[in-house]
Amino acid sequence: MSRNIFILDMDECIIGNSKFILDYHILITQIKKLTDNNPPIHKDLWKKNISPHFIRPYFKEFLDFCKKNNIELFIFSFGTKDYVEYIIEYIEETFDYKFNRPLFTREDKYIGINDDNYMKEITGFQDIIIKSIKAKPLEIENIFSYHILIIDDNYNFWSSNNPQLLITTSYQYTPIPHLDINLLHQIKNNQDIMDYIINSSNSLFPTYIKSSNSYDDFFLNYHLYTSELFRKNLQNNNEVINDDFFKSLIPLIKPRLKLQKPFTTKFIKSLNKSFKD
Amino acid sequence: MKKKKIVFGLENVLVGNLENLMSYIGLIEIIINSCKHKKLKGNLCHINKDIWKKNISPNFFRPYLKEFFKKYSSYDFYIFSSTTSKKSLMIVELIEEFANVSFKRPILTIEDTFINSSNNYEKKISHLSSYVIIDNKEMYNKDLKIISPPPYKYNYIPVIDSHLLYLLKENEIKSIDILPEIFTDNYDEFYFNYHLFTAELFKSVFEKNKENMKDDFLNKISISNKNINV
Repeated sequence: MSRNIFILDMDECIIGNSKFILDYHILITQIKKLTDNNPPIHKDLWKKNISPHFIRPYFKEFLDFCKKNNIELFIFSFGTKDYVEYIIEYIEETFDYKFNRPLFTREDKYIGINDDNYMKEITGFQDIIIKSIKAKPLEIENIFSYHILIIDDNYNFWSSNNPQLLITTSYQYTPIPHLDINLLHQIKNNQDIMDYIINSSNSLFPTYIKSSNSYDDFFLNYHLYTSELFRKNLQNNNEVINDDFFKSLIPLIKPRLKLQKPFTTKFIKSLNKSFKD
Repeated sequence: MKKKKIVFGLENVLVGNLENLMSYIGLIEIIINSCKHKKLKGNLCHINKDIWKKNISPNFFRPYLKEFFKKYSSYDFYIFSSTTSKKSLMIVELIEEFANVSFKRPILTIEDTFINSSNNYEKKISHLSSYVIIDNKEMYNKDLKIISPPPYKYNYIPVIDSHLLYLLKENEIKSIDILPEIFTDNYDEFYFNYHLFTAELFKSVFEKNKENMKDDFLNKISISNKNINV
């Protein structure tokens, strides 16, 4: 019985738009540097109080399904290595699941004909993947011809005729982090941090936060601006949390796995058609 | 030689309005009690009972408070509060920490007042001699010498601990005085309501607070023998 390998994109495929989460993570890293981490801030503070919708709906069910059916999962993202690592760690901790390593990231890109275009390509990584799942060398051709499914929201990153590619809609949920209260006080009371925020145009704060002279001023500006961030994203977020891509995918592939049938070009075409319809 | 003494009122004398802070403390007490009686379980039962003490606005304390206590460091300080003993003690301890001062015990509170012939609570100081009173004069016998400061009415809005707020949402605790009408099942709507509600709270007190923060009573006051009650 051949093992199946699913290769998943990360941003807007298994998680939403992480723009603000990323800014929160960067802010924490910078504050730690500026203050020599005194008072200490936990590097994973950004993970606290994060919206449960940040991870695409039914992804846990999908992971459980993959686990039950011995499907090997890999990540191929155009994010930087550092960024992909901390987001994937978050997902792994949330669902007590471990993706296969290595995580393929921007640093592993295959650069296309036009040097400005990054392309995703797995041919060059077959050995690494086979080694990671401890498959026998004889299985290589069979696995890479008939037992691979790539799930991505962006077909432009893959060669145009990739027969293993299942295109999903972008999951556009945008979580707004609810910042830690102690961190906010630290920001308010430290001019260096405030200067950094203004000069870096961090999306979590308005530029006018700098003119906040008092406690009232600072927290009025912070809450007003944050409520505005929530308001701007509210309608879209409320729509996309009803996304059911992973829920719909499971029954489509389940019979094929049960019958141990390969993931043929025809089958993946039919999958793509199901999601287009 | 006997040390001179100053007896202070608490709310609107040394600190601003207590209402919002008390609501926050009340919420924490409800949680802790519910956990004790097993009505609540999980992470919410691990919250620190002193979480409300963190990050209190310095404007909650009357301006020039630290300077005043330093200037009159040769005096003994007493409190006669118009609120309950439990609340009074919490606030007194906050002031002690903020201004690096210590007040003589016992802290006198509403329980130490009596109802006078006009059916009003009256503060009576019978255990001290040679003392100055800095308080709202309405609650004292008219014969006493009182230094009555303009009421310090800074309205402190506590910003609820982020993780506590998250746990309140997770546990679907909905009836909270301090956060009326923000609860909804939807995560983003909940936080949108929370931030908007809190911004509105800050906005509603902003101008008055700004005025109160200009208060310089403790900077200007000069205590002399003519203020002493014998």
